[in-house]
Amino acid sequence: MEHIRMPKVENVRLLDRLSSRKAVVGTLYLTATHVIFVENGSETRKETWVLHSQISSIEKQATTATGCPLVIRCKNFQVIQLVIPQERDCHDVYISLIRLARPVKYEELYCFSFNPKLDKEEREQGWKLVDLNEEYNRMGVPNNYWQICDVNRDYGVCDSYPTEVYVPKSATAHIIVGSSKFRSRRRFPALSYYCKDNNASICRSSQPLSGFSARCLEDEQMLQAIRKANPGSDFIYVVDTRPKLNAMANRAAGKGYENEDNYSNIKFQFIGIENIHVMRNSLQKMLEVCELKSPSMSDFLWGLENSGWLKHIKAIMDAGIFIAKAVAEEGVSVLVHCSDGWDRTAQVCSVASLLLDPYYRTMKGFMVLIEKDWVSFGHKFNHRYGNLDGDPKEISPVIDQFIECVWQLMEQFPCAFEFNERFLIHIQHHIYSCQFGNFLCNSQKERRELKIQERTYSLWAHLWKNRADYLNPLYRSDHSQNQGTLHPQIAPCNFLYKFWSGMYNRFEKGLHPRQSVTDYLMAVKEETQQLEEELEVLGERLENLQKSQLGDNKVKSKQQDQSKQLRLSTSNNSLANTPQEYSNDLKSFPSRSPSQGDEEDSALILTQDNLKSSDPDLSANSDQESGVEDLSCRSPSGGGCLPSEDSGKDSDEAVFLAG
Amino acid sequence: FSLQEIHIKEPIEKEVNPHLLPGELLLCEASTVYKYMQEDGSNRGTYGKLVCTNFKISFLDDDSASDDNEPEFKNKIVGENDITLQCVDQIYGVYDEKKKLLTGQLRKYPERLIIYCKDLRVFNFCLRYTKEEEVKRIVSGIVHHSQTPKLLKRLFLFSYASAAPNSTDGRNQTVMFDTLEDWRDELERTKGNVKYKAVTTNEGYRVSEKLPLYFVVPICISEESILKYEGRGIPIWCWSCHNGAALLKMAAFPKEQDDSTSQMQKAFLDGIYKTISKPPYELLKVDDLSSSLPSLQDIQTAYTRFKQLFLIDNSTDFWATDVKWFSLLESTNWLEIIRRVLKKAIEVAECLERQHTNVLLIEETATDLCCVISSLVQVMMDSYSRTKSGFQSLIQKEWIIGGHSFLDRCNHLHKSEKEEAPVFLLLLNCVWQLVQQYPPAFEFTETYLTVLSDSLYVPVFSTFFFNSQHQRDTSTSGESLKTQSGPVRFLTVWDWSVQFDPKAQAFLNNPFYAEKPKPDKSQRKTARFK
Repeated sequence: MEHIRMPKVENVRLLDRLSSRKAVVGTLYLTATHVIFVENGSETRKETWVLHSQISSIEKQATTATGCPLVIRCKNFQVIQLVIPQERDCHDVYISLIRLARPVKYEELYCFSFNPKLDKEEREQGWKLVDLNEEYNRMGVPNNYWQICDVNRDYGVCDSYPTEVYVPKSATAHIIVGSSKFRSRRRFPALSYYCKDNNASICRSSQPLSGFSARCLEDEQMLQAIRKANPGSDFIYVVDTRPKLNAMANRAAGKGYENEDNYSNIKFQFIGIENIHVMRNSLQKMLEVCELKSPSMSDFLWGLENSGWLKHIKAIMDAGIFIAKAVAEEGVSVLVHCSDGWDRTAQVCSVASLLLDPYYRTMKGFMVLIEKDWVSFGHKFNHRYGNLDGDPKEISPVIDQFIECVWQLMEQFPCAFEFNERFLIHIQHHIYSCQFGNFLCNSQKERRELKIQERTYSLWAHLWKNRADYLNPLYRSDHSQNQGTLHPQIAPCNFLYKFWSGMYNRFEKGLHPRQSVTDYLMAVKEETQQLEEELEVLGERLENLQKSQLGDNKVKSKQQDQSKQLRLSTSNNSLANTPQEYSNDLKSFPSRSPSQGDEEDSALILTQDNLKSSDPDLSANSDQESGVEDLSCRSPSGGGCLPSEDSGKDSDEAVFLAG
Repeated sequence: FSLQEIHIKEPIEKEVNPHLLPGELLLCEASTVYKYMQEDGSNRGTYGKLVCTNFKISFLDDDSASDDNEPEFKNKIVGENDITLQCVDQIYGVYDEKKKLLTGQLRKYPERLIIYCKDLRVFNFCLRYTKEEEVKRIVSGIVHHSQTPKLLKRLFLFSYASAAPNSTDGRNQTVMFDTLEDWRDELERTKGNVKYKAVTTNEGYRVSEKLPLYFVVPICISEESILKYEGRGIPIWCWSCHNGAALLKMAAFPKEQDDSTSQMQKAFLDGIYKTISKPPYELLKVDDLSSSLPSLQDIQTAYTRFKQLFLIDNSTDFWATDVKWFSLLESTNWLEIIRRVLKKAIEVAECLERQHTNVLLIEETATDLCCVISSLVQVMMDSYSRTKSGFQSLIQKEWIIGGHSFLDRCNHLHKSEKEEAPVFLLLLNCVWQLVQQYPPAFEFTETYLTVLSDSLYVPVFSTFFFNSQHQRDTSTSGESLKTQSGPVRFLTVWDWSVQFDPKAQAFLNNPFYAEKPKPDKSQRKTARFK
């Protein structure tokens, strides 16, 4: 609190990027955790909440006649433009936010004060939802070829690795330690994914310290051991995910890549994924395109192409596809590395796993996948996503790219994923929000030292609790897409990979389809479920009626048999009427099924607003747009226009594009 | 490579015969033609027979009999290896690895034939194993029948109509707008009948051959004014908004005129404007589309460039475009044109809806961009136009009866390339953009829009093969075209059962389509079963 110079400023204007007419006046509040803008006047008093940890930059622009503009750019791609009447106030807000957005201690982060009112037991249960031991067992290890090794018990060998890693059975502690000394940051080859059908595996490590000629017997034995763990194959692939030039440059620094002559039976392969600096700049360029006020077709297309973003996405996908193919089709094990083996390696291993194993395409499996390839193997969340104040050159959208790869696959295989786009967007949001403890720190060691699990909550439990919101209505576990490996097309990238406006223009409502097919399908599905439940109730009731009537009839004379038929037929009629009444309802937009609670305000999940507000922590950020104003035209008569799923109102609205 | 290297089964002796429609005649054929699989740029492919009829070019796979995995979505008239003559865009011959455009008489015959189709398919045939005589016949036959000027009466449409027993009346639910009744119903539906009337002035095409037999004008417009300049300068009604504001179109006077004539015309126009600006009419906004939208020439140029991005011979070329795909796309200007057209339509809709202002669209003949804009406005504002039959009725009203020159714009007869412009395709592209924005709002699907655009080149239906209602009427009443049972009757494209069996037709219907807006929340609450 001591950093807040100015807790409240009145008469602040919040500008709309696409239309200057739509500015709203309100009050700006700074709290210990959020920036809050509350709109004046309107009945609803719409609020916009932004977590300090989401702020990526604050820009104070030159004062104009109307006030002092302040632009807040967020890591979840929200851009907030404020105009503060007094320059002095603006300066105070600016200085306060600069400090608030860059905490220096983990304890300042939101997750340490966030309290979802769960008791201790519930919190512990939450952390147990994703269990990597269980996951390795599911894959089929330990077995004859693979075992858990305890050399890293106290992080003694590698402090960025987890304590428990799987290695080939023939790799002795001596080999592992020897190999680790020959690898950057001692990240020795360890198991990432095991395919129990054919024994092929994906292992990961960092680059070898080979320089121009150095060798290490234990490292060579280590790779040999990986090959032997797959008796069906006489070689392994070693995939260096860097561009060849980068890898060669590393040799001068005593690092580099494996020499095929020194290792027996390896096939070495470069896959040119650029480094974190290139990726950071590429995203920056793409976001500039997203932020254009009124882009022409040419600005948009040229900007997108020049950013190179989709090209980088394709490079990551290609690497994943290569590895998945090696494992599934050739039955060959693969060792993947980049430089330190925690960025590109994490991307590529997780894309390959996702392609190979339908389990990772389920909601639970996806959580496990992130936990396995990213969290446990020491992806530097704190540095990459700038949670604490640090070197800006360490920041890079590494996991964002992975999340986008998943989205691109979802677009290609609409029935293959149990979760929907919203699930991905919310995960991205929380990687930056620091509201949950999952993604804190740079390694398991740091997290244990901070006692994260005792002091914060797990995102996975939170998402799991709300899983109904994240279901893909088209998912079919028995669909052909889910019988094994996904085979994405390897056509030219721009035909396949699309710009993801749902993510990068997430808060620009005007740029999205006005009606969401996913939400629509989910609503229909829920309505169907509800109707089926009603049918069941009615069926039971009918049965009871018939029973009691039969009971009656036994006592009475056969004359009354007719009346029984009569009565039966009437009760049949009344049943027949009911679905008819509801068939109107079915076409309309159904409410949530009773099983999900009957709160009236969350009953509809159809709008973008509601879309976000279904997650209470996100709703805070999203109330900025009502979505009604930008539909240019409305027709009250029934003869007219398009039904609007966009607002809570029932007015008919015509189809319009943002011009 | 050689025949041996390819190593496929010897051509089977069994005769494969083309499936011919009524009135379809086999003109020439060639056997042992090798069709490359296009996707991978390798030399893989199949042997078969290449035939040319008065309707289509067709490749008959020698192995076709064994091929029993039928696709779920299949066209009954035009198969996967069929190209209707009207669908052929360009034909190239390959001589010693060099591509040459084939148009008229040929002196030398190529070893490979590449056919680019208007529906963006590319066919690649190798003729090296075909007898020289057959090569000559098939190549010159294909080039002649698909690339050289044609008489209207030589269109397959007429042979088909005379030969096929036409039992369906094709009416289904689509309003054809060829009767006075249809126009009156439309006026009533949109509550336009207070201020507008359907007129019979053009019966016998007294006013103009370009105008439909029946159309709608403001009530205060006299028959004399309509007749005065062959219908030019007359506001013709397209549609009325629920608030009474109407969308009108008008054919402009030609520019070069001597002074006195243009003075008279100006006075005439002023009179017209004055009449329809007074009550009961609302304010009037005039929009000259020839200056506010890209020209037909621009549209044609943009589309030609755009199309080129997809007409690629092999996957190597395909990959080469990858790195600069977005800038290539941008440089075609096609998407920018779509954006401008949509923007214009929104502008017009806002005028009608918000400002209660009539909008009068002006264009030289009022049959090109007027059709695009007025159709889009109706699709946006009138939920009926988003149903399948409503959309079809709209196309009938604005385009078919409205007098869009399909024959010239598609250059079906290869008469003049100057007249060619993908105006109707532009509409379908714009509607597709709307479908993307509002997936549950349309009764039809993306597939529907695609097959509709494909149908532009299927001369089994008369829908897209005339320039005007007059041309259609005079072509059917011609004495040479009588069958025993009376005058020929054409099929309409709206009878989808001709092209698709019921299973395939299901792909045209949008399962998300929500006919009615959602009922009031409180109402639903009370209706809920407890």
